[in-house]
Amino acid sequence: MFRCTVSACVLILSLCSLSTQAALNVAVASNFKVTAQEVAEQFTAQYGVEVNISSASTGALYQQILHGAPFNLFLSADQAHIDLLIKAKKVGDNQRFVYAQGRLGFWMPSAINKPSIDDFLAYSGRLAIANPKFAPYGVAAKQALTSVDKWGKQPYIQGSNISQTYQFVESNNVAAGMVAFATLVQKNQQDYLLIPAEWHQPIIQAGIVLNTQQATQANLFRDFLLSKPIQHLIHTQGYN
Amino acid sequence: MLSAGDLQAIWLTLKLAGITTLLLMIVAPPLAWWLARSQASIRPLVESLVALPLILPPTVLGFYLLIAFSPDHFLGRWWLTFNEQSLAFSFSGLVIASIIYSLPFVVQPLQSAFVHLDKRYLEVSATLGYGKYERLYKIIFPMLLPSFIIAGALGFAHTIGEFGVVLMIGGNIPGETQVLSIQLFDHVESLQYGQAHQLSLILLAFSISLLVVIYGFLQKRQQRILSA
Repeated sequence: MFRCTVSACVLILSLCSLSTQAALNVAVASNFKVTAQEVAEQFTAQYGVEVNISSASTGALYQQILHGAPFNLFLSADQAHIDLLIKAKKVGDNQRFVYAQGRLGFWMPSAINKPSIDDFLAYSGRLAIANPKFAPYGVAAKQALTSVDKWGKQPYIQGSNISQTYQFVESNNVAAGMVAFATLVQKNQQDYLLIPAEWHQPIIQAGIVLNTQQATQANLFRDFLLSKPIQHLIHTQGYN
Repeated sequence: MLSAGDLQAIWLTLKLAGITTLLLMIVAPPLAWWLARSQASIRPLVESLVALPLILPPTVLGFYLLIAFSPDHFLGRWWLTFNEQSLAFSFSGLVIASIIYSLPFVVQPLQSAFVHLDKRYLEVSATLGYGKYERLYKIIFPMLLPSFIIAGALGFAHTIGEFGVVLMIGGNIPGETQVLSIQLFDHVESLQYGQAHQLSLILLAFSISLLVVIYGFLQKRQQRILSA
């Protein structure tokens, strides 16, 4: 009886994983999700290869890849996590590339005018930021606040990734936040200040082709992502 | 060893679970009694609402609470009339979420105990001249004490294990909303596996000991009393 039950379960589980996966699985840091979806649509239209986008915080995706998640390509929000993957010998150094550079925005939806640098410096209320311990945009936010001697001088509401940080402000639960400039551009927001790039280390967003059977298609997607028209598209969506 | 942040998270989690359990032990018994005895036509609806957190993804609850807590909406606005801090990302907000989230874990064991309590005990005690409250203190409490402890313990444990809702409405503020499960998530995300292991082990040991006490001791005791 027991053996029957076990065999039945094993059989069902094996059938579940039989589904053929011709599609390309791309892990994308949450700030780049919307743009990646647009790129993926164009890619599918041009090459006829389906693309599945999975988005989460860079840290979470890194963990999943490290533990064998079936992604073919990883678009991180920083370089550090790519370096870690290379160090863990999951990928070769030559498979990395830089696809975008992110910028930070100080967003205050209640502002009557676009906030100025002085408004930003004067703001002392609760500030939404991405987790400065591991989220790349959180790390940059901390650097920017430190560079103007503002770090630690106000209460922080931490999102586990930059999208959640945006959502904290959008739902009006926090009056202002340090969010991705790209999201502000994509959502047509007006009341923000573009944080000067020299206030923090550049947010270099690197990606890497992972060692899988679909490396050819993954390389094709990378080349497409780095092609001139797509780089232009990425630029118009709020990346340098 | 545990860092100061970890200790703070442990203390905060115990505080959250303690306050939530206390409030639940006030709200849940009358509700469970009504669910066990009432013939009202809305009873199944109320019972379903109570059981909802068992099957509803915590993200749904978190999402709605985040909207409800916002100053744009009634609850958030009303709260701000007598509080400076908004409900989202505050300890009070977590208590409200935990009460909703852990309610079925407290109501259901009590309800089942009330259903199994032989009506004759109450009828006999009534003929002996016991009033409503005397019956409560002299019959119901002593006979169903193990079930009350089980209900409280399950509510407490379930609040300690809360994660999804807190992730959505907590904001990860040390000493205010950074509870144990969130602190653990933080450690894993920032690749501090050593600290993550410590906290996981503590949670695992706590949970298993509690369940062993409930299933190995309290439940048996309750059955003995009820079948005596």
